[in-house]
Amino acid sequence: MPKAPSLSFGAAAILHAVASRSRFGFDIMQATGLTSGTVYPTLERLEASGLLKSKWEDAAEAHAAGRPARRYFTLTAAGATALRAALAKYRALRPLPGFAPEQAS
Amino acid sequence: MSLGRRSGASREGDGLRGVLLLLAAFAFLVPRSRRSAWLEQWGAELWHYDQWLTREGAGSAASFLRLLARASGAVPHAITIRLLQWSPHMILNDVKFAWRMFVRRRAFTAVAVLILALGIGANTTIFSWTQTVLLSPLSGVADQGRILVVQSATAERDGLSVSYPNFQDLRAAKPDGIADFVAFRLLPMNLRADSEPIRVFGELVSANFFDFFGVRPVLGRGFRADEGLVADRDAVAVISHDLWVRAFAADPSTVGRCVMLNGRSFTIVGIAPADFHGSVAAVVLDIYVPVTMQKALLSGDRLSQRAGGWLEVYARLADGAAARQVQANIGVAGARLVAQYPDANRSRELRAVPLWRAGASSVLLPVLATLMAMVLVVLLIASANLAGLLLASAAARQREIAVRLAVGASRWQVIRQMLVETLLLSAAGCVGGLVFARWAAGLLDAFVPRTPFPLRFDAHIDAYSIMFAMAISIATTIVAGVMPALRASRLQVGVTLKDASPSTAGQAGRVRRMLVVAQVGLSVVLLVCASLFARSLTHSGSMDPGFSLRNGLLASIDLQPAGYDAARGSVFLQQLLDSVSTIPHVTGATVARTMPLDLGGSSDMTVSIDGYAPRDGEEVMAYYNQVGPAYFETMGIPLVQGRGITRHDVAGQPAVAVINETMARRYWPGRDAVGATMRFGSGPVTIVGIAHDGKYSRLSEAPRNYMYLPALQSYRPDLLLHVRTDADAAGVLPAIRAVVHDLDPNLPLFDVRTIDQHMRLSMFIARMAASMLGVFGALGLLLASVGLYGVIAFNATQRTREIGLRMALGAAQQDVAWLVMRQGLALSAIGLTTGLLLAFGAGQVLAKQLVGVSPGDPISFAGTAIVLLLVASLASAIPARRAARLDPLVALRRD
Repeated sequence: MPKAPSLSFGAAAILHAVASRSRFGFDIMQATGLTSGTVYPTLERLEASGLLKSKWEDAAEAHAAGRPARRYFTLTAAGATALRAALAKYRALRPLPGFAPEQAS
Repeated sequence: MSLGRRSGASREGDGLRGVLLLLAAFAFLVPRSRRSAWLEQWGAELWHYDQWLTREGAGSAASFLRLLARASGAVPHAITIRLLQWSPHMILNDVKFAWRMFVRRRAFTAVAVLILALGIGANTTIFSWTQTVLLSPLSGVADQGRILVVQSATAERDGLSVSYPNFQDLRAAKPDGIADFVAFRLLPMNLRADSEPIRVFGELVSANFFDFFGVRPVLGRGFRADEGLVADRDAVAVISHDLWVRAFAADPSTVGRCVMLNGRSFTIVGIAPADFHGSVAAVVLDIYVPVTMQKALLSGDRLSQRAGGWLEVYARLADGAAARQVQANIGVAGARLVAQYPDANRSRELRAVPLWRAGASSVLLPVLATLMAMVLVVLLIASANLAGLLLASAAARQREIAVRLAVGASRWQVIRQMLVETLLLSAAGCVGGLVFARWAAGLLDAFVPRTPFPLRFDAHIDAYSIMFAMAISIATTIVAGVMPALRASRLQVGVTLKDASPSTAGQAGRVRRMLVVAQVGLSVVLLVCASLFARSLTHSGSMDPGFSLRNGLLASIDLQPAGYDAARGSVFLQQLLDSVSTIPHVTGATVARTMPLDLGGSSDMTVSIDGYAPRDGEEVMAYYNQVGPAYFETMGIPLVQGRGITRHDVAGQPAVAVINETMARRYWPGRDAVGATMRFGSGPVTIVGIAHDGKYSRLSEAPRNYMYLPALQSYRPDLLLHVRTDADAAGVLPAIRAVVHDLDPNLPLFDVRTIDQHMRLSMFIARMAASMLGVFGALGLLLASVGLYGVIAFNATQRTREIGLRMALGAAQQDVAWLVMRQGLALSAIGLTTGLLLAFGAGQVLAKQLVGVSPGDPISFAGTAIVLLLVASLASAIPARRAARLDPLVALRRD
């Protein structure tokens, strides 16, 4: 296997978001605060380099839920490796003691 | 482009609809295949955002603006999708990855590059030859594509020379689109600088010669315009760089020196550049003299004669002029010359043809076309070979590729990766091929035999050749790389990953075996063709050219520089022939102007035959030779009727001629030609004999009118001594030299060659074709055997465990060896059979070029089969031997 490509912070954040179960564009933007002009192209590149893969949600399922179908992204094995490497590199993505997320009220 | 999946939308604001419409306008940015998905994705994105904005209680105007801002991300997204289809970043990754693969598999890479280098190199070599002969036949001359050859032509013949007055008028007329004309005449001369005279080949040239070709002498000067004005005044010469080095030790004081040319003193005024060899394609010339000095170097007073051509003329196109228009203008200028001088120029017209349609180029081109076709077959073999290697490598990499597909690589990515690898291999092969071709380009000259005049082609690799090499490299990549890449990307991931030993190579293996069969088959075609040409060459050696002289010598003598006039010269020639005839082992001696089949131009003249009325527009002409006494006996040309030329046919006696059968039949049908008269120049010439037809210029020529005129009647100082011997010809040479020395110590013999050497000249092109085909055949065979070796070795490796098991169970070494070898022999046998069938077809195509060999020549076919089987056995024996030497314990442990 070639070694994992090094990721930009934005890409790492997006991988992180996908790994944290934010699986489609809107959710990922909400989770990262990145703009649409960053998130969508980056998703495309990550998929092209084999770190993510995507799948369209079943149309009937979406219909039942009363919304348009979503394109769901998941991490590939290579993506997981890359994310692990990115987490080791970007300390800003690690959990910080005393700053645990607040429970939803 | 429907947004249909949004059917479940509960609320859809006007703002959202507007933004979506706007977005649709940018859809063209997205590659067609991804367009609807892109729209759907953004539809969903904006729907969710719109919902969220509503939940947040944003006003409709604010919502619209924020939706618009969000939607702006769709544009970079679209561009990203498009760029990713050919991202340089990804290609760079592919290149890096390919490099790692090459380093890991050095042997594979080296073999692949070598194969490509051979295939590309051979093609580039032939291309460079063709290109040189076609586009730049003149060494050291710039912009040759803008040079046209101006020839005189009649209704029946073209390629005729031009007279000096016609040339001068043409130049003065300056037809539109012509920058200038130049005239020249190739000519052997005797040059005496210090001691012994040497024979050099040079040209009589119009004074604008060096300017016309854009050639600037490296030392001294070219000719001044005034040196082309007055006949017999300016005895100046420019010599070649080569002659300067050879005869004058590159002494700078050579300029200004006087040398003797044919007994007349000339001043050397300049040294031509080293790469300039004169104006005759492929001929290397040593000295240039103004055409106004004709009388000093060439018989007759030709400068004032308008009838009968003796000069070659080139025209250079003016800037921006189109060749086609200029050709028409030259035709018009020719017609004007006919109108002005109807007697001298009767039924003649002027034509202009590209440089490659004239001279040596036109002779070589058909051969080069055959060679080009054959060398493409070599490239095809190389491509099949490389495809086989790539398939094998893809099979060995199945697991790697399966992993890549499993972790989400697309098929396209895998294909692209493999194509990048092939392209890199081709690039390396292209570089190697160019290195090879750079060396091999010069080989063209190695095939040129010893000729009376020095021939050299100077083929070289130029920008066109490099572009050609690059183009065929890319073509090879496509031919050899696409199929293996497609196959590799079609892997069934689950099966491959589960199966530890990649035995799924079954289908790819079959393709590889087919490729090897194809290579063997194609190389058989090459080998059979090469063999047919070689055998045809041997046969043309034994073909009847109309004369039987085979054992003997030819030597040039020139009496003019030695100071003989016609009377003394005739006496000397008679004495010479008498003395030579008394030498032991000499069975005959004569002189003649030329020996048949010398590849040189032949002389002809217009004849008027008493009692024969030519049809309208018919031109009565005959080629001729001037021959001495006992010519027919010495040459072994049978006389059909009448007598030959004797020692009594001298000046002062009635003019006589012997004609050939073709001429007798044509102009005296059903009548007796002997005793009839014809006229050329002054007075009637009586026909005294009819000789058997023969070949005069080339073995392939059609029957032509031919006349033999007595050399002693119309005296010529430069003649070719023909000596017939009954023993080793070269052994007689010292005695001949002694005889000549006794008669005149100052008279040298030039261009001494045996009849055998002379006969080779007529077959040099056939010889080159046979040799080159032999090289290509060997190259094809080498590639095919490497391919065969590759397949057998690979299969043996795949079967290591099986072989180990067999050995562990008691199989003997030779059983294992046979197991491996059998496969190689089977593949070769199939390839051989196919190849022999194909070769039979190819033979039919080549039948016209073959002399005395049937296209189905059993010796060629059987010989090829034997050679092929031997080589194939060797190629399979090496892996067989290795397999037989396996240690079963190691073999069984292999995964």
